[in-house]
Amino acid sequence: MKKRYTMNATKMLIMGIAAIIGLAGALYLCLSPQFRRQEIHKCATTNENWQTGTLTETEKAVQEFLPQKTELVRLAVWVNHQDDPASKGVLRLTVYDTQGHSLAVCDRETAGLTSGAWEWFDVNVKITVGETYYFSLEIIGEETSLTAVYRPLWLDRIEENVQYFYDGELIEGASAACQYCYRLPLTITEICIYTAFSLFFTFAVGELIYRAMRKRHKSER
Amino acid sequence: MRSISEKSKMIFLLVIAFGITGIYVSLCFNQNIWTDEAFTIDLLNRKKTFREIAAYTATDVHPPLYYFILRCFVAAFGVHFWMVKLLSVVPMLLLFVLGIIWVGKRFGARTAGLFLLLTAALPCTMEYAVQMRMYTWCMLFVTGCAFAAWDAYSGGKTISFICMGVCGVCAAYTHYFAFVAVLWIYGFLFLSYVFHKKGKALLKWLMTVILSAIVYLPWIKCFLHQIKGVSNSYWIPEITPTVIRSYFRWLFESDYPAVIMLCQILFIFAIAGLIGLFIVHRGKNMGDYAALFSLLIPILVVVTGVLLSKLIRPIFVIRYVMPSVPLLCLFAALVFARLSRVSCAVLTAALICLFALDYRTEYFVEYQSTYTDSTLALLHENVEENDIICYNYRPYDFIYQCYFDDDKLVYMEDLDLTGDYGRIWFLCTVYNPMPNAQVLVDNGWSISYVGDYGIEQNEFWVYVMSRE
Repeated sequence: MKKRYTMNATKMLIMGIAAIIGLAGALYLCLSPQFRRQEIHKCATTNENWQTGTLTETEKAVQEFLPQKTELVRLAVWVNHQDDPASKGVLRLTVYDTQGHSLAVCDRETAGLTSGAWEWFDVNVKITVGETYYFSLEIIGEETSLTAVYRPLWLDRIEENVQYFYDGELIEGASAACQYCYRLPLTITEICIYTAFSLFFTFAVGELIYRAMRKRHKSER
Repeated sequence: MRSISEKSKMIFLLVIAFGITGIYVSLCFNQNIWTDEAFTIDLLNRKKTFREIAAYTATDVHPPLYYFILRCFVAAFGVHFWMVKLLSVVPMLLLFVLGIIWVGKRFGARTAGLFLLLTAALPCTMEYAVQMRMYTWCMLFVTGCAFAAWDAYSGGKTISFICMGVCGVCAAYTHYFAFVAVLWIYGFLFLSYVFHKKGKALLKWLMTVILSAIVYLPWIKCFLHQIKGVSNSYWIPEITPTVIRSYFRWLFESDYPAVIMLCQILFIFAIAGLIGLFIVHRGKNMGDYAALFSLLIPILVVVTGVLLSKLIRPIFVIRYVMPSVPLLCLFAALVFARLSRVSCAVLTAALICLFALDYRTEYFVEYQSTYTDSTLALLHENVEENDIICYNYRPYDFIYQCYFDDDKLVYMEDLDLTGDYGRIWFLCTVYNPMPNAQVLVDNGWSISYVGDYGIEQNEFWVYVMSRE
């Protein structure tokens, strides 16, 4: 009787520990940003028919945008390096708010850039939906022949993009060729799934441990 | 406390199965299709007799049974997208009912329940359950064949062999990788008889094989012709180690990275569990063999596909494993059902949540992911009798034909700008340029942009040309 009681207590203890580990696992999944769903908003076309002049430290391409979600994880832009692989400058992407406060600065060696492909930058900024933000593209260091690609708004709209500037001048009806990758908030369904799966895994392992212990206990008897 | 009888549990599971089917049905009432589904609709619109359908599919890469079933169905109800989608839901319901009854009787209601939920909740299943393709029928036939083979192995009754033969032939007539799955099922049964020295059953097996081959004989010529065609050229890209690694991910493909990972862990757990069960039972438990058999069929289908691709040319994409996916779910159900009631209840909760998440994703895909509805609304509202719809990307013509009358559609290069049209609605994709502006002006046409639209995953800008 006492031994049976001991085994029941052992089972309770193991399953209790399993439950705690399972909940901890679920918490980890819920809080880890890398497991959250991402959503990309992008312009549709990828030709290079429309380009700004050469980017420099003063002649920047600037896109005014209204974010659609609260966490901007990555930003992709389309640049053209005019078949100039020898360029040694640095392409800098800066995200900033209406007060001019810089929220993210990302650099990329221009030598590593390819024409005809999206260049992704990890910006990871928390933003407010409905407020205006900007991102700029400029070249730091040596001069290059890099240009920024854009689209006419009538042809290829992207809901975030408002106005596009080059060298401080508004380009009428233009919109940067870009992509906005947002991290979406956690949903209740996700929380339930993570919790249930984590608990299941730890319960299953706990059960196996208990069964093994019981078997050993029986064989000892 | 009085425990619930097995019969009551089965009835409860059947109710759940009908509920899940109802949820699938709710995904059918839309205009959303993709390229392969457009092929199905195109075939239905053009080929009216079984002979025509057989001849047409012989020039493609699939066998004809699904199209025959579809022909019968639309003969009664007409060609409507939702109706054709519903036809794919029917075998899912039959699969659920078959699974509940067969699995429930042999392995208990708990296993049947887990089989039902795993099949329904696996992210890839819901997508295919409402597609105008043959996959759900294949799933039903392959699963039916496997169940009958198991009965033939454990009981050796003639009826089991008949069921196995019928399901096997139907599967082979529906999809070639369902055929591959059936060949492996037949192969395993043969090996088991040889291993256990069951001469009488082996004779029945041989009779089934011969009869199945005879029934398949009429299609053999087309099959060989298709193999020859595929050997010359086929669209599937080369199968690299990266592609093979992606197969395990595909089964659980979801917008949620953690969900993919959790589903993968679930099946790794199931494999580890099966190994554990074999060790504990020392290979003497029939259920363990049923689980092993269910696991090996989908794996061997993939292995066969990859090997054939290496030998001939790439002919396998991972969705061709779909016919064997219910067996994978059966394997996991057989393993997890050995756990305690609490663990199974937690797994059930997880699978229900997963099903809800799948539904949300699939609802978006079916109803909101494309511009199809707004495009159809625009064109149906504005295209007048004398207007035409012109497009500039020929490979999509059969997709456009699913939505618009043939006499309204003109490919850009066939467009006669001197023609007496009212207006020309131009669907401009990025793949080809606009008509030459000067030529338009010379023929008295002016062009204006209407908006961004699209059909299926193919997006385009709509322009309207008119003579002022």
